[in-house]
Amino acid sequence: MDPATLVIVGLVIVTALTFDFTNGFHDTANAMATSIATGALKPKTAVIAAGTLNLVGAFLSVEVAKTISGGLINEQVVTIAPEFILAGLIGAIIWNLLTWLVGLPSSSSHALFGGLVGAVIIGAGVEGVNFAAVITKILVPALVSPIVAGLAAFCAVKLIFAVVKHMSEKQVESGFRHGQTVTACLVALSHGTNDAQKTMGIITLTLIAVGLQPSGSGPELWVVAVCGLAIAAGTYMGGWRVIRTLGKGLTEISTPQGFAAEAASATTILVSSHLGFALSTTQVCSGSIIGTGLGKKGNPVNWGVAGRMLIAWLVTFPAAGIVGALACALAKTGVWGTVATVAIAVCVALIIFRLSKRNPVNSGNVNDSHKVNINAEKTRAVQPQAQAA
Amino acid sequence: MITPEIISFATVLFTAVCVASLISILYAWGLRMWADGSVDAQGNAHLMHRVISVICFTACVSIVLFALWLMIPMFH
Repeated sequence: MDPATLVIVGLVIVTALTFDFTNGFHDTANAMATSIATGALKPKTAVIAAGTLNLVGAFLSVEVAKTISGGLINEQVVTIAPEFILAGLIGAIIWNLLTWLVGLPSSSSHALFGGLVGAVIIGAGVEGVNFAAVITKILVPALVSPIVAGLAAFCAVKLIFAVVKHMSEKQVESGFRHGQTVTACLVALSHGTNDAQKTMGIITLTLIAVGLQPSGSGPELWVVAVCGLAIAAGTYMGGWRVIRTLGKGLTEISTPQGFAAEAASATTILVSSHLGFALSTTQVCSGSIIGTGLGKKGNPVNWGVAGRMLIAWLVTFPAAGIVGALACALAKTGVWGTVATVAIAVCVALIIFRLSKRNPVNSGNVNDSHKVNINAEKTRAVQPQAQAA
Repeated sequence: MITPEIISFATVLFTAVCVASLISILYAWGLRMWADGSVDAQGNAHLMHRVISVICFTACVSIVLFALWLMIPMFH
C-alpha cells in the first residue's frame, strides 16, 4: 500500500474514533438526563454507569453494520472512497459539537449519514444518493420518534399517577428512584449495543476497502475494543450541556415521570429495532420526556425548547451534509487536501470548545439552571440599598 | 392505501404504548401494594398485599430480563 493511502486510512480511523467519542458524550443525556435531574443518581455516578454500560454493550453485540451508509447511498453505483468517509465523519463531528455547544440533543446517526451524503454528492454526483431512503430513514423517523415515545410515556405516567395517588410523596419518590435507575441503565446498554457498532462498521469497511482485511470478515478485536473505549470515554465525559436541556429545559421531572420516560424510551427503541423500523435514540428519549411533561397535570412543557429541538432534528441532515460536502471538496484534491481538511476540522472543534468555556456546564452545576447559554450569564450587581437592608 | 411503513409505525406505536404502560402499572402497583402491606395501627399485617407486590416486581424483573435478551444479539 502506498504511503498516501496509509495516511488517509490512519486519518479515517482517528476521525471515526473521534466521532465515536462525540457520539458518546452527546448521547449520555439520552439515558441519564432524567436520573440526574430527579436526583435518582448523582451526576458523576450516572456518567460512570452509562460509560461502563456503553463499553459492555460494545462487546455484547457483534452485529456490525454491513453498509457504511445504511442504504442512503447507492453503493452499487458509487464506490465510497476513504476520503468520502472522512468528510462525512467531519460533517457529523462538527454538527455534534455545535449542537452540544447550544445544548440541543440531535441524532449522531443522522449527522453521520448527512455528512456522508454531502460528501458523496460532491465526490461522486447526485446519482449516488438514494433520496427515497433519505425520506423513509431520516425524515419520517425524525417526525415519528417523538410521537411514539411521547404517547407511550404519556400513557405510562397517567397510569402511574392514577395508581400511586393515595401513597405519600416520600414513598413514591424513593420507590421510583430505584426503578428509574434500572430503566436508565437499560437505555445506556442498548445505546452501547447499537451506536459503537456504527464506528466498528466504518473502520472495518475502510480496512477491507484498502485490502488490509479480507472481504466479508468481521471487526478485529482491537477495532471492537477501541470503539467501545471511545464511546465509553465520551459517555463518561458527559455532555452536560445536553443533559441540562433534556433534564431541566423541557419540563420539570419527578422520579415517577423519569421512570415512565426511561421505560417508554427503552421499550420504543427495542420494539422499533426488532420490527425493522429503526428510530433515533435521541429523538425517542426527547419525545418521551415531553410525553411525561404532558402526562402530569400542572407540569408545563417548555415548547420553545421543544421547537428548537425539532428544528435541530430537521436541520441535522442537511447541515451535516453541507459540512461533509465542503470537507469532501477539499479532501478529494489529494493527500495534502485531506490533511488540511482534518487540520481545519481540529481548529473548528477547538474554537467550539473555547466558546463552551465562556459558560461551562459540568457535573457541579448541571441542575442549577434550565438554560444553556453560550455567553456567560451576567450576575446582577448587588444594590447598595439592599446591602444596607 | 395502507403502506408497509404505516403498518410498521402502527405496530411500533401500539406495542410501545402497551409495554410501557404495562411495566409502569406493574411497578406502580408493586410499590402501592408493598406500602399497603405494612403493619397497620391495629397491628394487622397484610400479607396478601405483600404477595401481590412481589408478583408485580417479579413480573417487572421478567420484562427487564426479556429486554436484555432482546438487546443482546448473541442470545438469539
